[in-house]
Amino acid sequence: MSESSGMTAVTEVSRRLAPAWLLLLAISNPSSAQSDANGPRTWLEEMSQAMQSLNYDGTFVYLHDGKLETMRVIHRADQDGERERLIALTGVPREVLRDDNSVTCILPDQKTVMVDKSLPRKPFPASLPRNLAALQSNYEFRMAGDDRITGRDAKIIEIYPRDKYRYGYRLWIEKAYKILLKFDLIDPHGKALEQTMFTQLDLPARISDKALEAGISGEGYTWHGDVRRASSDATPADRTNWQLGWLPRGFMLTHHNRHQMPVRRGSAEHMVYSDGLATVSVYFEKLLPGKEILQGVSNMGTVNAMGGVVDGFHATVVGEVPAVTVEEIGKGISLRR
Amino acid sequence: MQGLATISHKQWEREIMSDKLKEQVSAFVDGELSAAEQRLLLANLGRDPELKRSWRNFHLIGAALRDQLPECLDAHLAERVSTAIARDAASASGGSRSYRNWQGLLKPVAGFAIAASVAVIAVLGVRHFEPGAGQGPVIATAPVTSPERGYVRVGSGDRESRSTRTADYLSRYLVSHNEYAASSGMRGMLPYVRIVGYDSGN
Repeated sequence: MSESSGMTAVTEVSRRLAPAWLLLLAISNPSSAQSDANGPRTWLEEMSQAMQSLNYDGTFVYLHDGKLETMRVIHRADQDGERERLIALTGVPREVLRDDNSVTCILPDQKTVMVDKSLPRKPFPASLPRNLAALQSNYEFRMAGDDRITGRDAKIIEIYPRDKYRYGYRLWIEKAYKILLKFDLIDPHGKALEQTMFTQLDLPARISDKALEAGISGEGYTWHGDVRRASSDATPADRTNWQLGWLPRGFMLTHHNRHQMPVRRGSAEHMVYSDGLATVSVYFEKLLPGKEILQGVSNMGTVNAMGGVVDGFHATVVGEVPAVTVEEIGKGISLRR
Repeated sequence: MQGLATISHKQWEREIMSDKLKEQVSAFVDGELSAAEQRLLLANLGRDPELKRSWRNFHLIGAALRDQLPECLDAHLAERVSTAIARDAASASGGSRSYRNWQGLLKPVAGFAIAASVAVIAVLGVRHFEPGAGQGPVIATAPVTSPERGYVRVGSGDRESRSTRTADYLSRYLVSHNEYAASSGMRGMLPYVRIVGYDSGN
């Protein structure tokens, strides 16, 4: 078989399997695809759209700190909105249920149920159309070839951080339906820090209510949080006496409010800063006798947190950013006098 | 590693420590002392350098039995505690209210500047077992009195249970943070993977 007829065969397969616009991608130059309709931005937007609007039921693995956890996710999107259920298949059968009103975390090992208000999800990346230039000063977007995951063809998109204060991402996006098949959190050198990958995936036309209900009753568990109260309590805040002396380049305040914390007593002043991809929360809570507080830098996989006491308040900086970032932000916190 | 070889049961026996106190220290490490008993014990520890050393060795033996000794040991812990307490007492009277606390947290000799002298020892007893001393987290309970100035560590210094405890603690913040992060930033496969998957194998 000659080289040219091989090419034709590939094109034929593409024509049958993929939407017409994919052909356009094949002839566009990937390296100059930054603002291109078929560049990384389009892929990311379509992926985000797909993850919110499709029904899917799949098993995936989560690899972190040398450990491998297996989970199942069931996601339904219809006229009633989005519903999602996440179940641990290995170890303790923890579950998270999410709909348009609330997030419920069932933790059998702690005999605890945490309920919090859910927030509407903007199509990702919400900041891209507005702040593409700003985002590109902190990240480099690359098309990184093709791959196959769980029998499905995928496009690889890489997002490299330009400094040490944020992580990068490597995404495998399914070509036909734009489902995110694999997701790596990477360091500035491209080394994977944490990986999530579907090992089996179905896109059923219908998903029953039952499949989205918790497998654990939560009876006899301690319940924390009240959605109605939480939502009425989340009051926007426009004034604060706290000041942050340092933030990584490109981070801007995206939310600022006061609300109840799941499990914890008392309310918190909560500020959210984002560079469009990475997000850091800063919580200020009044110190109360007997209340558990975090002191120093701590982590949960690639999520880092820093806790400390300033002027009778406990401040917590938390986010999916490197330890140095929460540490530097924490060091810069002070009370305006 | 030379410090490790010298810690033996013989040496433990040589340490001067009454059975009663030994029992109390053991109970404290296991988190079984009442608040009043803790205060009394900590006050004794704060006063007695001999007892402080015993306290430290007690922890080392416990860690050795659990095969959790840190890679390097700080032989001058007791001295650092004394220095820190002295400094704490000196700085408690005045000084700026703002940055001091945070800066204290970031040094290996963390927490001294803010902690009341008795509580300092409790925190250190645990910190000593952190891999890379001073880097690790300490989850503390704000004490009943003087909430601005002290930490009392509860529970044992067991690394595995502490890592699970840290994960449990952080997941409370993550439930709140995730919603905000997912509403505007990169949300990956699923923002809640960490809460469901973290340490579920333990």
